[in-house]
Amino acid sequence: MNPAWLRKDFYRLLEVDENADQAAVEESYRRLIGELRPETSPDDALRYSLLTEAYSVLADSARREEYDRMRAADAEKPAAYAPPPPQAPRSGPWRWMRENLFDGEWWGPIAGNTALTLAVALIGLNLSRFITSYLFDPGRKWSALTYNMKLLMVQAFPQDDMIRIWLSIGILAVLAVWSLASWEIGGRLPLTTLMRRLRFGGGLLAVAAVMHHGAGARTFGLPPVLQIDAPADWSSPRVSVFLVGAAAAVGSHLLIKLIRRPGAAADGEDTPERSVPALALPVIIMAAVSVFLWTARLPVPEGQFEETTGPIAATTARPWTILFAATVAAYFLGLLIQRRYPQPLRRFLLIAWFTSYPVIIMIIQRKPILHWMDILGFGETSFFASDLGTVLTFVILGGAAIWVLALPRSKAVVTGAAAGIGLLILASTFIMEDPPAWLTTLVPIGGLAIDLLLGGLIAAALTAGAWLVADRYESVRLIGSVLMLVAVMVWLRPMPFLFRVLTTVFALAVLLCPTFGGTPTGRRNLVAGWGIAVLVVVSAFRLGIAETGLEYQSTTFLGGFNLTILLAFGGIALSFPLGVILALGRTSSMPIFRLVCTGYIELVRSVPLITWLFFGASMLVAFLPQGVEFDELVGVIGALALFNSAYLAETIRGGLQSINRGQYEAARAVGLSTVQSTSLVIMPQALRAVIPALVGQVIVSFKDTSLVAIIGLTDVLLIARSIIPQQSNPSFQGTIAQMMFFMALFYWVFTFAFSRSSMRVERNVGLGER
Amino acid sequence: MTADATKTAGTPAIICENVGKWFGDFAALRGVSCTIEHGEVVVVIGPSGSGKSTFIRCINHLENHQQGRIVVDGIELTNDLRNIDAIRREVGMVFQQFNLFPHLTVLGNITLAPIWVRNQTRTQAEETAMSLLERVGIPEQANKYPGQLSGGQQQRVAIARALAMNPKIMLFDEPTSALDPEMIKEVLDVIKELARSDMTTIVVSHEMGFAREVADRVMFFDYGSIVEEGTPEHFFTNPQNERTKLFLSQIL
Repeated sequence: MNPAWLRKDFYRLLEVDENADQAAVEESYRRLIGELRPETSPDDALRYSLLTEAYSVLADSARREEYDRMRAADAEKPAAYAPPPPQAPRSGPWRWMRENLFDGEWWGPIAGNTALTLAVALIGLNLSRFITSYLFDPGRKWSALTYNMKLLMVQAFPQDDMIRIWLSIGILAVLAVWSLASWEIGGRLPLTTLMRRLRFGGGLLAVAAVMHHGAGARTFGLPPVLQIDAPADWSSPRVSVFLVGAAAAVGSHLLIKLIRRPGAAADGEDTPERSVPALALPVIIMAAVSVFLWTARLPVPEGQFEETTGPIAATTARPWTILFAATVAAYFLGLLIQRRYPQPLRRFLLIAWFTSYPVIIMIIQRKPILHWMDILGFGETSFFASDLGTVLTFVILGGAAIWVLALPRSKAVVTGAAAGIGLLILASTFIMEDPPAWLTTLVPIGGLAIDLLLGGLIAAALTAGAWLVADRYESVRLIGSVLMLVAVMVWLRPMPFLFRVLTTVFALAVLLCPTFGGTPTGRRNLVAGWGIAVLVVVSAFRLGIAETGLEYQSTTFLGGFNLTILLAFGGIALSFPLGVILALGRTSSMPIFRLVCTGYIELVRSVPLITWLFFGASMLVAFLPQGVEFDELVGVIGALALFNSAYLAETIRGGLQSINRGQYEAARAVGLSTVQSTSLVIMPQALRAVIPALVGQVIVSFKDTSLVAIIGLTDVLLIARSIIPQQSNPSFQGTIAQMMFFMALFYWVFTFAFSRSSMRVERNVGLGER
Repeated sequence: MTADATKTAGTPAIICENVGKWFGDFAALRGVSCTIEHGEVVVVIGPSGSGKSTFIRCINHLENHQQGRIVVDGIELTNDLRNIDAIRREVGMVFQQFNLFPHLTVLGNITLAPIWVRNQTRTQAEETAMSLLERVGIPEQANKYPGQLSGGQQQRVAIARALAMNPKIMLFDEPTSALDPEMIKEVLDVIKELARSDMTTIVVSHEMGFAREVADRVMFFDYGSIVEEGTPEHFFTNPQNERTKLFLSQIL
């Protein structure tokens, strides 16, 4: 027997049926080969051989019997390809509802899903009835909302300086929308989905218009649970606002349908569905609201706003409309630039986000009268002591040194840079204060002389070290080490606190140069990082330290939402690098490093956060050098950051433990140094592994900021909890229940945004895990 | 480069003298001595737990030896970190479990070390990486992540990653032991091609056919020392030591 037979149907080839006898087979074979011309046609030759094979099998009764048995067995074998069972017809909303919401037996002992659906629907209906009747109660004083919101946002920020708050919010809103646009968050929305949403939104607005309460609800004599709300009071101006909104939604729905029609009709279902960026919809609504507020003149209901004849935007809503317009502009600008220069734009946005924090602190915290001249260096203080002067001097000189040292092209260049740094140190001795007494008694020469001697020694050591060490990268490390010594000395000498910190940061940056500066990108990042560090340090000091001599606004100046955001972002952003270092320390093989980190983590975790907040707010001063005073706010941000870092460290340590040891070995085997292996191979994987836990930690830290109320900072929750409900001024309104409901919503919006963005991040980085 | 060449021209690639290594009480290596010349291909075989992996891991100091000395390319391995870094730049290693970096693409895996250690530009490093991927036969996988490749492809990427540093010596630690049978050949073919290209190569392997085909010398490890070594013909046809004979009878 031959398995190939099964693939050929001999009966069909010979044009006989399966019961045909030998004579019929023979006759049919003779007839068929008689028609063939195998000598002339290759097709006929092939057919000839096939027919002969078929005949040789079917003509032999034994082989025919075998062939029949094989065919019968083969027919029983299931086919490799079988049509799938028929699919249920595409489910529409009604079908879905019947299957998922009402699939229980109506008459059964337990009505299954149906009962549940009905119960939830009843609850939902009553909840919505409660909310609408609450919102649309004619007795509601919406003017209180403006006062309440201002209080919640900034507490008692002076009215004359509100422009700073608006500026800060504006910076954040523009950055946020710009980033959303350029990262294309939300993806694209197919037009059909967009139309469905427009239909739904329009319907909702129409329902809202109808639900709008009239003078008195009609009860129809029903028990309260089953009451349906009374028909609308059509004369109210708010009804017309809802109706205009509904009409706009339906109108744009029709417009899209009109535009979409030709393409869809021409190409049928195969055309890729047209889509718009998902964010365009809210942005367009924002723009529409803004335009509406500027143009519409509604009859203002009595007692709600001050009587005015101008458009709504001319009253309290003006900053909002400007804000809306700015975000809309930022969105389209973002889309436009994103198409042209995707990479530089994203880098710019990232840097902008990092710099926005100190800039906003500057804007909000500065003493109410902004001394622009002082900031820019043309005021009473010298240029170098001004904000701009300090930042520029350090960024330019330090940046140049880092740029040169990051990729040491020749020994002469490295030595030159070392000599330059040495000369700067020597020069700075002239502008420093007198040396401490113990030093002058030890070496009995004049103050300036000893400074010059020390400076000269350091300069000589730097230059000689750079020249003598053969390996150029090693000589940069040597320069970094000498600078580190200088930084330690700087902390022992009386001099501006800011200068000490910047020197230390600079020494650290130089130490990082040989490890990370090898590539042009690495060099750029190092210099950019240095610039950002200088900006952050300078603005933080201008904010927080009395010693700088500049006036700053005390913490009582700030409260509410602004305070919450400053605390949350400051605490979280600062705790991340610290947490990474602590996690590495706890898993390190260096005993002292490990001991210090373990001790720190265990100590911090064993004491409640409130204790640390008290410590940061009032006890920290006792541990600081004389003359150095931190603002309470800085102390609290520090306490939050230090506390969070201990928890983050443990989470990240979990991530580190999940990394296979082979990864580290492979990184070392290709020649990466320990620092490079950790930061390029181990840490990225460890952080990815624990993203969900990290986000959980961030959410907890965000909510924990509400604890600062205990140490007397007026965060948003404190205002909502006690300040607003206690107001006797009739302009304010709100019971504690209402405020708490609002605060729940407020916190939920933020935490939900965190968790959504973390899901997005997980999706984006999860690719390598597959 | 020429200075390096003159420095190392006369010396062997690797010299081991009386190398010993213990894990706690367990003696993994007991006085291993050998000399491997430049361009030589050595296949190390032996039963599991005999110290072959420990031996080649000592050569690039993933394990530090506690006794004797190891000189690689004229540099003695000590605990001085700079010596170790210098040697690791010259010695490529391929692991049994591939150990690719899962968070980087194939291209990112190969270019990481050239960019950060050799200070090459990204374009330069990527050009080299693509030509290496051509050499190991999978240029089309350049932008995939390791998790999306088969075991054989991953191991070939690992080989390309080691070659990207342009090493003088390649170490293979059981490169085919974690692979499915049908993928072993594609990896061995790449290693064979390398071995013919005058690269100093040490392979720990259980593939006797491969050893017989490419090795200049076969070393048999047992109980932490070299029991027998010699050319493949001598080793496989006429083994002298009883333990070698026993091992070969079990495996062939």
